[in-house]
Amino acid sequence: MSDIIAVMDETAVNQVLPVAEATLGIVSGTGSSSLGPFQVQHSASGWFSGGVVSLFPSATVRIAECTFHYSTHLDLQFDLSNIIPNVYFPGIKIKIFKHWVVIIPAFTINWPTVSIPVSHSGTIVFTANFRLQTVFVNPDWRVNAVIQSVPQLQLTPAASLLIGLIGVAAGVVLAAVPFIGLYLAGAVIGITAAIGIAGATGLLGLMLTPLVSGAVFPLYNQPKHFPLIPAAGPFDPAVYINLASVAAIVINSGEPELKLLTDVTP
Amino acid sequence: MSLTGPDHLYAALMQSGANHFAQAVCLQRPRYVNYSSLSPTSAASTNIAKLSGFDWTLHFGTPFVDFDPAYLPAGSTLTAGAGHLVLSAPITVTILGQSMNGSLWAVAVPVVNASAHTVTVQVTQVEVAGVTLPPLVLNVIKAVLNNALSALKIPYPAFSAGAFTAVIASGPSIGMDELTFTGNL
Repeated sequence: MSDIIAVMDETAVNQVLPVAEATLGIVSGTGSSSLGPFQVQHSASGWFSGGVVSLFPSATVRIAECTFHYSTHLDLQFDLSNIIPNVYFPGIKIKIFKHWVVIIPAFTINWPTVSIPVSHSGTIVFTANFRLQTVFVNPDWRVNAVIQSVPQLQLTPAASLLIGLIGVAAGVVLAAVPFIGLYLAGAVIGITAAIGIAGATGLLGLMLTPLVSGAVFPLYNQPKHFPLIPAAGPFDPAVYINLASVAAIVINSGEPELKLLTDVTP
Repeated sequence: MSLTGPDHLYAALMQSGANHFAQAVCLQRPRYVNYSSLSPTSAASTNIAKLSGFDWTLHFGTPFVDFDPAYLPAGSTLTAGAGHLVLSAPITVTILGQSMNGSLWAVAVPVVNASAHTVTVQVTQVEVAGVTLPPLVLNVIKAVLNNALSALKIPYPAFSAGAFTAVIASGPSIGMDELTFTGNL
């Protein structure tokens, strides 16, 4: 039998969830990948809010309708020549009157490599099962809710939006490229078509899934050297006990409850 | 029947945990078990008044907390019932150079201070077995115990190992070797 037993029902755990989400704070990640003909440097960050907790024995916490608020920044780099043929003009001589010749020399337009920055923010609502994980990370005992499997994220609407944003950003960047006037509209269409919804969805998944699937919500965090009674004057120092072990389970004896079992030593 | 019942939180301090609490207090606040009229109060000892003009010392050994009121020894004059806990400890009284050893037995009740979010323990009856002490000494011992216990204000979170700070809805209840509360956030 444990020395101390603390139990929360689903209502209480639902009250604790916002605190756990706030404690987790902002999660972030960076990376790079290929997206069709493009190289993409990307960064993403986000935070969690809301959700409805259900408890299932013996150690499962389901959070439904949790919202992940994210911000992403992409930097797409690519060679315009990959989507617009380089222009070669062989040069011409035009004879005017008898002795005058106008010569237009040969030239080549090699399209440059451009960088298109795109920022995108949004929300994703997901449902996932978490397992209870008890760890001792010196000097603290922690009970976390750790996601069990990668949740299915609905990214298609966000991907459509992202494609649109890339198109707008590409239009702004390409407008500054010399001689592209005739090709501008085609270039934008070429870029967005090259990415496609599937590509944008895949890229968003690459950025956001690790942040969501790496979510660890802290439900309990106390020092092993636990303050039992606070100090009370010069002759009464604080009294501590040691939390020798901590375990967390879900039980159901009439209703599902989260049960924390602790053994202490003087 | 769920543990939280109609409320949302439940905390149980088992008898073993209560005894670890008591041991921690005795180790880390030795003045709560050592009393002397010979020295001023320090972290190691608490000053007490002379006894009928004589210096004396009082020492309690590590106490044992029992949540079963039937734990009282046979022949005890104390009475304990539901909601009571029993404290016992070796006791040594030294007066005029003579030491007397006995066993302290006390019946106590937990007292909740809702505004301070703390729980203390109040001794209601006390006796010493194994040695005959005058009623005056017993009264002093009871007062000394209550002074010490009233100063030991255990915050609510201690009863859940810090899992939560509750507003107590019911309890503390004593039974089945445990002291329990229910409450809400």
